[in-house]
Amino acid sequence: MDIAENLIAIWPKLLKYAQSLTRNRHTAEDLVMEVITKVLESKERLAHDTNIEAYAIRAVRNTFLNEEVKNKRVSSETNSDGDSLYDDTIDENSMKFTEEGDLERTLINLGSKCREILVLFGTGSSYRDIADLLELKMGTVMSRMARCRQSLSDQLEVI
Amino acid sequence: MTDEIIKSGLLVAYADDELDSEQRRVVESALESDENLVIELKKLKETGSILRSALETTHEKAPEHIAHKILQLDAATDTQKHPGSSPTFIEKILKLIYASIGIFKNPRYITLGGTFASGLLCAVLVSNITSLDFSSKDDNFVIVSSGVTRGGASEELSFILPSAVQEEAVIFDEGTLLEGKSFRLSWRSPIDGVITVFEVNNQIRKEVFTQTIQAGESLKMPQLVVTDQSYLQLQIEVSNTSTIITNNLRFKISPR
Repeated sequence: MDIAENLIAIWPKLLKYAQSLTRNRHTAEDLVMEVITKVLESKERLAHDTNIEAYAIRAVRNTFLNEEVKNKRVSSETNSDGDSLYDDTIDENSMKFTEEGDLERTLINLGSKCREILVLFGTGSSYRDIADLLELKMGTVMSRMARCRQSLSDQLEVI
Repeated sequence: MTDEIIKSGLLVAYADDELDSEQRRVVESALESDENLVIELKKLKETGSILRSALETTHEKAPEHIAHKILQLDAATDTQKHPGSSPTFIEKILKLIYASIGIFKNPRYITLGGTFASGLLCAVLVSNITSLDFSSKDDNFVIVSSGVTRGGASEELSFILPSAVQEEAVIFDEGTLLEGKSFRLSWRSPIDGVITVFEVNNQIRKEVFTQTIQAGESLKMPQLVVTDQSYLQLQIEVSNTSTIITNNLRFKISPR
């Protein structure tokens, strides 16, 4: 499968991940297309065995974070776990993109750190993939997953 | 022990089948003697299942227009990197409308000195623009992307490229073309070199034509038709070892 076909195949996953970051579908679509354009422009520099999915997901994340830094919306305060103390909670505008379903609203309520890791897991990434993408140690991924899944469970009232 | 297994993430990793054999043995040993751990495991499997079933994308596909866009981008990056492609590779439309309109708008682009030369050029240009050549059917009918096709009886427009370097950010609005009506463009370059025409869309340019050209030669393009878009923007580059001339043009596409 060539790179373009690969990108077409993973577009749904890239979009879901981008939405977990932007909380807005239109912004997410733009973000994904921007990244796809960059990947295609640099395709000749990629090694033939490059994991395009991992490469693209990482590019989505980095592009989003760079924009956030530019917009000065990223807080530098973190707790001992490395999580931002400014856990962006839901606001009325961000609710608009959630078309339906408790899960989507709950993911928004959980904040960006949990949302990101849970969406990556839900779209099929392994813990190792998540650790590599988010540049975390495996132990951090596991403990964060535990915390976030507990919060998810509480909010969804899973019995 | 229970708290440690839960907080460290060992239990959730077990639920998600992410542990190695050693770690699995530790958790399974704890599960044998702790009912609460069994209950927590069940919850974690439940949330894992909810996440996977709600978010998995294995059976999803990119919408057709997205797939098409990605393939277009891919083709564009190929043509940008390999500009020596044969003209038959081109799947886009070209438009060059210069000279008379360009010259009158931008007197500094008149490179031929003297009233006589300028007048002669204008006369050639005007006569070409006003003559409609409804030539017979085109050969090599090719379906192109961006809703443009080649073929059919055509209106012929000839233009003269300005010789001064244009600021890249400047885009000249060069009039209107009718949607669905084929046209043929030809141009004259002030310099010897290679002429390359790009279609510009959302700041991405895709090469649509390239050929060597001699100064003063009238080079005719394949017939083209624009469909399914309201504007067409082109960037035209003429280059040789010492000079690069770039111009940007935009046409409004009017429905018939």
